[in-house]
Amino acid sequence: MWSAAARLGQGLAVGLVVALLCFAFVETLPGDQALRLAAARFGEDLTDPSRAELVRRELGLERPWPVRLLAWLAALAEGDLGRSAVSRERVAGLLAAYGARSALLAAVALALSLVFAVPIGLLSALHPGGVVDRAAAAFSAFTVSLPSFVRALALMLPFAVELRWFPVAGFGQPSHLVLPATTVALALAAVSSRALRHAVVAEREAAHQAFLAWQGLGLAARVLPHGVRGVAIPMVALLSVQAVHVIDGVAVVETVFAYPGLGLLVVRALLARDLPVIQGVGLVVGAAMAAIGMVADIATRLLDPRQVEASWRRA
Amino acid sequence: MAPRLSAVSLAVAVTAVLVAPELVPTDPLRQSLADALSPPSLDAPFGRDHLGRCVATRLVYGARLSLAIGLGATLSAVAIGVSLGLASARLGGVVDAVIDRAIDIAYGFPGLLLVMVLATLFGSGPVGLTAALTLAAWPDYARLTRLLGRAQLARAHVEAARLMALPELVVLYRHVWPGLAPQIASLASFGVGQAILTISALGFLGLGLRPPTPEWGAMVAEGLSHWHEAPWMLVAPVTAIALTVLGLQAVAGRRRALDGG
Repeated sequence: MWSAAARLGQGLAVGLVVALLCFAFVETLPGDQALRLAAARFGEDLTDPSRAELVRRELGLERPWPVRLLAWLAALAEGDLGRSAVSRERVAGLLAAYGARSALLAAVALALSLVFAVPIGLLSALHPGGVVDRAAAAFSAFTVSLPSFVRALALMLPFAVELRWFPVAGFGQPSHLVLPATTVALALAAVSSRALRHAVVAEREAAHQAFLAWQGLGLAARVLPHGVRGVAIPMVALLSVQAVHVIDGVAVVETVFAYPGLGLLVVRALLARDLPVIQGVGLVVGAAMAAIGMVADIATRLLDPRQVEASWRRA
Repeated sequence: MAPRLSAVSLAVAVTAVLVAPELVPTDPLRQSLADALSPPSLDAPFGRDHLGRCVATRLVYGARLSLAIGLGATLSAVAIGVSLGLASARLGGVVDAVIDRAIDIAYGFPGLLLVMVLATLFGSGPVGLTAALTLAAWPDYARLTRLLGRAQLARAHVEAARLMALPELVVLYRHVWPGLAPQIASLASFGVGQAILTISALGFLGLGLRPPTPEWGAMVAEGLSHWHEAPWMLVAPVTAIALTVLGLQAVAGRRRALDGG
């Protein structure tokens, strides 16, 4: 059983390992780091050896790598995540700003996915094997086979570019959230609607439901305290897994819609070899995953007291 | 009906991969700016892209690349994952604890992000990409093998084999593995599909295989900027990706899991 502290510690450890990996491999990349960073900062055309030298001196890139690694770890111990090698902004600030926007997108997407999944799942469960059920299954299978950027484009091209119902990119108005959140929500709902359908059917056919009906309890009395809980347990477990996948899918969707979140930040940092930002994102994401796992654990344990060793990550 | 359709489309993709250079005479990299953005014709069944390259040819070569990398990465991940899982299940104790903890840590980072970071660090060639995908995928197989392996090892026929003093590896291969194989194979087919989706996502973002290599995701990115004048540039690779992944999922039996039946 994971204690909260152990979980969080592990999350940070994962982030640290990733960050160290990043450092190690950027070091072994061919080509001049300073030149590449200068190109990212000033633009390819304006880069020349003197500008690269400027960057090199400023970032202390001429020091041997063990020195730089220790310096980074020391700064980390004080809570200083460093500055972006490209824009010189504080990494911690960047993570907070972009991270908050990603969190908003993720929350909206998860909520929206439930709005899609619950009616579809319930309708499918009403007549298992019927037309609605099979159509929903086909739609889910198809949606899941499409790469996320295709889904994003499938929403963007008709609704933003052609019909102009929604803005194509950016952030600032609630309407900016609609298309990106829907893209992510569709993929989540494809899975959760099926899971809900299976959970409801299983619950309906469960022995205890028959017993309650035989006792003479009406539909409300059977569903509300017993049925909902029986369905909620696997669904909460699934949602926690999906929360993890949202972090995953967000990178591509944010890039397509130019939504200024962590995904966009990390893609740009990777393209520019902006090591401090990459390391910072690695740390934050590792910790976030651990936090999500912890919340899921607590929720499952609250819902089902039988599962003392409950963890969606252990069998 | 639908599973058969998916299996057929998968068969088409595999054939394309194997037969590509012989059947398709055009060079996927050959540009012809005079013919840029021309619609489908007898000469170019899916039209030409913005540099005059034949889209159909690039699709076929792209299939070869995506499937090769996807299969390579999945097989490597299976090899690593199953070995570690079996070691964990069979040896137990400290080894089990260490491997289990390693799996947990490996799970601590979301897949696509990890592949993006690793692909950037390993370099964007096919080998680097395969390595990145393998590192992201092995925990799934290790976890499954560990769980199933533990159950298998407790079965009577395994104990009988061991009592007969058969060498350890023979016991594992001939008595334990057949019990695991179907589920691992199912997960692996699904995994190849996931790998292809990841490869195309990376290609789309510009983090994966670099131009002018014909890669489906990169082709989608290129097709996006020209979709008004030349929609075939976009439609062709999207359809290719969707059909291939659907086919793989059908093979994996995942559709049965999503169905009512």
